[in-house]
Formats: sequence, structure tokens, C-alpha cells
Amino acid sequence: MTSCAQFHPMIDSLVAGRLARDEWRTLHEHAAGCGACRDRYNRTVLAARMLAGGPAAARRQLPVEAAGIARFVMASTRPPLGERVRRFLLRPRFTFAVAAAAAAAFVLMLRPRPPAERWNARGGAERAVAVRAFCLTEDAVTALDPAAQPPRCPATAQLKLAATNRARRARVFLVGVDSAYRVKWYAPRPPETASVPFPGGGASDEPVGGAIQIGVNHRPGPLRIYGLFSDKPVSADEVRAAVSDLERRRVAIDGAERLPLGRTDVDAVSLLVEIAP
Amino acid sequence: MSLLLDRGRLAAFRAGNARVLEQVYYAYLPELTGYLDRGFTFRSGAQIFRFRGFAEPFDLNNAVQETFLRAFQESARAAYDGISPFRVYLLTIARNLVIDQLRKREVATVRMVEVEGGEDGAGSVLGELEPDSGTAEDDLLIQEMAGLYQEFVAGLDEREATFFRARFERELSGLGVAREHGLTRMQMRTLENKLRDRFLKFMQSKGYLEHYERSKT
Repeated sequence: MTSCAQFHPMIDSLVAGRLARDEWRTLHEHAAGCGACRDRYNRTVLAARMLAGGPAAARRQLPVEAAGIARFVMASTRPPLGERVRRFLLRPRFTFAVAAAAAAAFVLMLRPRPPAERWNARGGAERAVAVRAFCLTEDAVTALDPAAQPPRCPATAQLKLAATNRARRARVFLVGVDSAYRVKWYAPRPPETASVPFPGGGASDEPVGGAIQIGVNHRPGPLRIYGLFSDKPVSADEVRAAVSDLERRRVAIDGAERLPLGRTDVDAVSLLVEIAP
Repeated sequence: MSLLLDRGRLAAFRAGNARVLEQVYYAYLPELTGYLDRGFTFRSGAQIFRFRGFAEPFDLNNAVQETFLRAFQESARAAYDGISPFRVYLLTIARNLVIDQLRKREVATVRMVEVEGGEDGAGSVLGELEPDSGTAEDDLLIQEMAGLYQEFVAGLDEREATFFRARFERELSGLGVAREHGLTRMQMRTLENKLRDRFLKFMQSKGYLEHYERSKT
């Protein structure tokens, strides 16, 4: 049940130029079907317009109104996150890289799979399983591949993860660990505690999980992202125990390419990125 | 002159370059707002109707937003030929949007009147109207708010009222108003802030902008 009272501060925020983009959409969707809020919106905007130019300015849109519409329109014009990542991946140089990786993976698939954890510290796509991270800013999508030294993403950006699963493992667990051994759950996300079904069969660079707002719970510094591929689920408790083990042994996260899970049925990779202030 | 006559800018527009889209938005916003505010005439069968424009800020903002959303869609950007003026393209989208809404009754049909034997927009394909085409009933809400504004100004002393009208109504420069009133720049700023606060408090006492002060801090 939506109370009109919750929209009154939003209307005032609008004329103060402090209405967030999501609030703008929420307010306008509500007011479109609510005469009382629409009336309040109209009167409040008119009052603010008059403060900016008297009664003669009553029909003159305020700069904050124009800017609010602009923000909303521009955001709606941008392709969805998944589409931006897909376009990025389909750029010719990446298509070539993916084709090369696919060929390499095919060769690897022909080899018998050892029943042990296999670690790919660089997150490269030459292995049967791989994890890649993409940094999404307002203007660009950047692959956080190890070629960048180190792969860096600002805290204001979003992170999108993709996984390659040529080993055709049924499940994947994606988790980040920072230099203070704080764990970031990417897939599964709480309250889920077991690794999630791999979304794309044996696909390469398959997006996993939603976009991650880095600023919400990440601090600047190194962040190691682990991808754990398995047929039997990996649990959050197993991951926590492994991270605690790293902490107890004081293994710096920069060098912690392995997550000591103690399981032999997990194909695992990790990728080190840097969260910039 | 159309902003998108420049081939490079047109290509960036079609590619959805955020910077160019923003340039286009701000370049054409005033015309679009004026068009949707004043209204236009259009032909439906043998009849000619006049859309009287969106008098209220919410309706106007919504229509402006929806027009740009449509104009900036990937398909619409690709469909723009880059030869005809973008202004005409944009206003046509706005006009079609309003006519659609009138058909679906999403816009109160009271905003549409039949024009007896009238000319269809004086020959303009967009049926543009002159700025004074609004009716008194359109302005009821504005008159009501203007009444409150006048009530506030009437409560000021003569010096304050003169200053307030000069600064907020006529939007004269701060320095000019300060000179006229024999004030230093600092005194002018202090008086301006004081009057703005009083106006806000007055509006809050009438039930408007109650949360404005809180959100400002």
C-alpha cells in the first residue's frame, strides 16, 4: 500500500533539484494516477517557479525540472546493462579472443580432467573454466583482464561478472574477498547459501548475477574474485571457512590465488582486481 | 539551424552518444515545451480541433519526457533522416503523442475543442499556435498561486516589496538592485536570503514546500 505522504518530500526534493532518478520515476508513476499528488506537484512547482520569477514565470519550466527529465530520459536511452556487456563482448577484438579461447578450451576438453582443484590465477580464458569482471561506468565498459596492471575499477562504478564453463560444471559460486578478508557474495547472494546453477550450459563469458554497485559494500584496495565451478554445490559456510583459514595464516589476498576449500571436485579460478577510490 | 546538420554529430546521435543526446535535449527543449504548453490545431476527418496545451506542470513535464523518450529510442534515432529539421521531427512526435493520448482519453478531452470553420494551424503542418492562445480557465491554478504570491508581497514593507519584485520578479542583476537600493553586495545577499526564507515559510504556512528546507540542508 502506497501512502501519498511519502511522495510529499519527493515533490519538494524535485523543486530543490535533489530528486534521485529512481525517485523521479516513482513519483511520476504515482502522480499519474493520483489526483491529490498531481495537484500538490502542480502547486509546489508553481510556487517554486514564482520564487524564480514571480507570476510571470508560472509557465516557465525550472532548470531543475528540465534537468530531472534529462536525467530520466538519458538513463532510459542507455541500453540495459546486460546488453552493454554483450555489445562489449561482441566487439571484433573480443570476438577473436573468444574464438581463440574456444579453440583452446576445445583442446583442453579433449584431455582427461584431473579430479583436483585447478586454479587459474590470471582468470584467463585459456582454461576450461574462467571468470571475467567488467567495470561499468557512465561512459564505458572495461574488461578487468590481467593485461591491465592491475585491472582497476572506480568505487563509483558497477561490476559485472561473467563466467566461462567449458568444463560443463553444473554450478558456480562467485565470491569476492578484499584485503581485510571481508567476503562479498556475488552468486549466490544471501539468503541463498549454495552455489547457483550455471546459467548458460557450456557457454563462454556468460553473465552471472546482477550488476554490483561497488560503492555499496566495497572499499578501495585489492579485491580477489573467486569462481568455484562444481557439480555438487559449494556452500557459503565452506567459503567462509576457507577465507578464515587464509586470514588465520595471514595470506595476503593479493597472493591468495587459491581458496583452501579442501575439495577435489571443484574447478576453481580467481582474478585480482583493484577497486580505486 | 538544425543541430544535427553536422554529419559527425548526426552519426553520434544515431549511435546514442550520451553527450550529443544531452546537447540535442537542451537545444530543443524550449521549443518543445512551448509547443506543448501553447497547444496546436489538428485535423481529424473533416473536422479541425484545437488542443489547448498542457496548462499544468505535471502534464507538461510528462509530455516532454515521453516525447524525448520516443525521439531518443534507437529506432527513432535511426529513422531520423538528418535532412529535414530535427525540430519538425521532434514536434511531430509530440503532436502524435498528444493525439494518441486524446484518443485513449489519457488527456482530459476538455483540453481539446473543435474549431468552427477554422484554419488548420494557419497552414503549418504542425498546427502551431500563437503564445497568447491560452484561455482564462486554463490559468485557474496559476491565478490561485499568483494570488498567494501577491498576498506574500503585500505583507512586505515597501522597501522589501520593491527589492523582492526587482530581484525575483524582474530578475534584475544583484549589483544593479543593490545600487538602486543603496546596499552593499553583502547587504543585498542578506536581504535576498531573508526574503527567500520568508517566502518559503509563507508557502509552508499554506501547506506547500513543507519539506523544502529539510531537503535543502
